[in-house]
Amino acid sequence: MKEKILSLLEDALPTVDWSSDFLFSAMDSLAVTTVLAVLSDEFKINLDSEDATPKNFMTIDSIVALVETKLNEK
Amino acid sequence: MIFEDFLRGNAERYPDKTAVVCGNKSLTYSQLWQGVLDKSATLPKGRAVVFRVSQDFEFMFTYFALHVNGSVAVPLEKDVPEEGFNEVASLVSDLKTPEGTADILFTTGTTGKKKGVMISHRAIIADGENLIEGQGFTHDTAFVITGPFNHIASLSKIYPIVIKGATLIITEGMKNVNDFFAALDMPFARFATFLVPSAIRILLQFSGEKLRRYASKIDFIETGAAPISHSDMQKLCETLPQARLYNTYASTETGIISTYNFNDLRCLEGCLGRPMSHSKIIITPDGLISCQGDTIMSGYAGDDELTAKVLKNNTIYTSDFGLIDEDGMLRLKGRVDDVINTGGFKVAPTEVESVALSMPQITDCICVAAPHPILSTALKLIYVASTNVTKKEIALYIKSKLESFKVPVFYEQADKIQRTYNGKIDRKFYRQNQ
Repeated sequence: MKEKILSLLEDALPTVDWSSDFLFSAMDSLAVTTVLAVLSDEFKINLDSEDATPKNFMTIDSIVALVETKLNEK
Repeated sequence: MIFEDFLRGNAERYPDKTAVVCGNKSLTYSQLWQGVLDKSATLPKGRAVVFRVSQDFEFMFTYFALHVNGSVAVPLEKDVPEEGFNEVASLVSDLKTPEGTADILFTTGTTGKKKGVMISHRAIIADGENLIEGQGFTHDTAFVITGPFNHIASLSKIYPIVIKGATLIITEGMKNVNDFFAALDMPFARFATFLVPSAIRILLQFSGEKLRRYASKIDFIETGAAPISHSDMQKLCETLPQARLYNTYASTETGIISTYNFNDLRCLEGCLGRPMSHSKIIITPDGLISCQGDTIMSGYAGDDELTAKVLKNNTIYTSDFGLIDEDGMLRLKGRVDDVINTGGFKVAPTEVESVALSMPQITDCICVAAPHPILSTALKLIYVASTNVTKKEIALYIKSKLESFKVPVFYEQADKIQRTYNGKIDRKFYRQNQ
């Protein structure tokens, strides 16, 4: 799961350092929205702007955890 | 008269009125004015001062204090690379600006060379009065800033707010939409904001239902800086049926010229309204928009030749095609040059190409406009490489040399770049094929 998400996001946002522990602060609004759009599309989950919090977007692992939570809610 | 005279007047008339809110902190007009006076003691007098913008009180103190000192404010993008910062600092270091110059705002020209647009205190006040008249700013308006202060779209909202003694709420932008909604939860009655079309798309796509719940609190929203799609205009009208929703014609060079409330049951596509009281629009025989009035720039800093091409007889000649319809309203019809508008930022493709070509692995390239689901238009780099180079390597290289909004979103490797018979990049071919 993590490898798949990482590959999708690296392709969509090549300038982001996905190994960062402070991902949210390194992104702009377009990057955040792109993450929401790419993951909603790929996993057919309902992500909205309120999910894009500094906590959920802190690291690639927290993004993976967010996707897993949404998948379990389906 | 300088614009800060209004600020000083507000500190006397409404000392306890909230002037600015940032996060969970706020300043009254009295505190803001004192902060400006304190800051002014630490800043130079009578010269142009370059600084990176920040979305906080510090920006407000610095911006106003420079004017109080008779200096000229030169605010740059917060992530402008050191090279770009030094280029501007050097350009303005010995610059003689016309009497009454308040700001120099840097934009991108068709060649990618930075253009410093000189704006007078008179233009600032005229912009503020145009917005008050055109959009109904009042003493009770609480305006949520969502964009960077070096861009005329956000900077210009300070003017009507200060003239009316209203309130400015500063946010970091639309990255954390929760912060935007938290601003709307503050104890103010009449909220207003400016959102570039891509921010409206973000809200409608990912927070449409939540936005609807705030409908009764939103007095008006203004958009501009890039064309908004007709479907987003209609969706916004449907989401906020009672709000005034404005589409504005403005640019750094022209100032705030005209505005149209598209929540008028007609929702006219591409309509930018009638010119406001300080402004006049004339369509040239070639179909290009030209503007007159107190809001227009004084010229380009240190570039008389370029100024003479755009500013003649107190008239700004733009690169926008337009017409005036039977109701006297401006309709936008596109641009004459190759500049690409992405998310409200104008980018000269030649600047991106020049940086990409300085990367040893890239032998040829073209930067084009490509459709994007959020931005409407995004930058795409089509490149020819001599050896293996990844999209990530190219993107990071360009990011190290240019501001983030100039880094292409899409990349495509090609065997060759189409050129015209005389060797120029065939931009027309790529425009027709994207």
